[in-house]
Amino acid sequence: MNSARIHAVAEVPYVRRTEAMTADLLGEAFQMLLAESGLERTDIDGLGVASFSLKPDRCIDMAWRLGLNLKWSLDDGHGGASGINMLRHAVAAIECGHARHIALISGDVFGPTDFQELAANYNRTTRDHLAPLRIANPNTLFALLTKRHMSRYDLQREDYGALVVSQRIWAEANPNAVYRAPLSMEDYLSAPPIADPLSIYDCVPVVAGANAILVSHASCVPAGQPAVEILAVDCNYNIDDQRGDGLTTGLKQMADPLFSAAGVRRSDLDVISVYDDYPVMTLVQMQDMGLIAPENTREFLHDTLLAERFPLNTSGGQLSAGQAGAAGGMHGMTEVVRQMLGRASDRQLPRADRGLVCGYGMVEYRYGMCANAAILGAVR
Amino acid sequence: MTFTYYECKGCRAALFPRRHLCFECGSASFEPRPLDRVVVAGYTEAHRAPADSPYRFLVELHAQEIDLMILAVSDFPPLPGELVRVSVSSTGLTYIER
Repeated sequence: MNSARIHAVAEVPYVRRTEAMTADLLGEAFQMLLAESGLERTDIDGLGVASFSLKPDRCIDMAWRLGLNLKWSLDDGHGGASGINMLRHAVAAIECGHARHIALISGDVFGPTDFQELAANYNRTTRDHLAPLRIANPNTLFALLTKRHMSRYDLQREDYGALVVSQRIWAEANPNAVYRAPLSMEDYLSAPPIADPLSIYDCVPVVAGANAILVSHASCVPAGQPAVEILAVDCNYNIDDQRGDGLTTGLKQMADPLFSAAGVRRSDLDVISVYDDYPVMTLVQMQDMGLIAPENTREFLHDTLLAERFPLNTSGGQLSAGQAGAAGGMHGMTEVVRQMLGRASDRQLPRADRGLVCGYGMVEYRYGMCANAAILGAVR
Repeated sequence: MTFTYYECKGCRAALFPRRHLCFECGSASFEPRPLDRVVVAGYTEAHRAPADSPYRFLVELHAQEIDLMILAVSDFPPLPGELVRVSVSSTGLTYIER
């Protein structure tokens, strides 16, 4: 057990368009975090930032904008895996005594051409080998991956639709979600196609927004505040050099040791957030974590997830709430912590003592190469 | 132009794109090799492809002899398992032909 505790979370409401700049949203998230925690600005001695659009600024520039005197500073570039990556570094920093109160913030604002520029220059491989193809982008790459997944597990479009429809039901109770209108299976199946077999509802809506969490030493959490402890956290990156099929992530190797380290059984979990850039990747991660038996994937989707309202991505996930760039890597963690702190308002689960968060991202040539996970426990 | 992949001089692993070190053996030495015939492993139709491009299909290709997966575009829907020729245009676009 470590001595780090999460005791505040923040989310700047996601919007389709804004006049604000990325630094504005990150600053707003930081201020929301202070307000929720009851801490003063001068208490914060650690800052971690994940953002694609903050450039040319970095974490230290945000520290200057926020008037922070830091002992610990971190720039993260792991996209959908950034939230858990930063959390793991923050836990180590707290343990080592490098900082007492660390704010982790992430977010992005994309203008009309910004997102296309990001997609074309995501890394050197993308710039040199994918962008020249003009149609090789995350949507088409994950369409190929979804086809492989469908073939391997004998799934149909309506099986993935069950996940999308399920998350939309949760989103109806999330005022920060950009998609909140009810979505039927008929709506899903008749949606405009993007890249076969993916339609518009399989692809996250691009939004502007920011998320933040506050990680403090247990002895520094204000008395009487509920908190969340990090029972176990692990990362596994570039497991196969992009020479596999993308249907396995680094989670598969770490799952059993992670649950063992946390002292938690899979059946103990009350709330789960799994990175959902595409429905297929949510299923791959759930399979890798041992939360779905691959041969029972269809039954899980229809009988458990949809029919029983299994508590997966209770914010609506990025598929309904939106993907605010790098904030997508912290969106799920924000939701799980919010549930565990009892602050999820109309979608609050009756019990949220044990939670799991999974991150995934950073497409190199054919699929994402970063995966990580954290098991969290409520401190009452 | 001919499509070029890289063969590790240490363990003969086939790589594309090129790396600095071989994932298998750690060698930093690679030999460029031409690739011509490949098998279609799968494809998707991009419904929002640029209007000025005839290439609407993103294709995943498997060079079976060297066990290498690469991506290319096509102006026709290929058949999975079909043997096709892969080439590179002067603008760096990797495409397939029957």
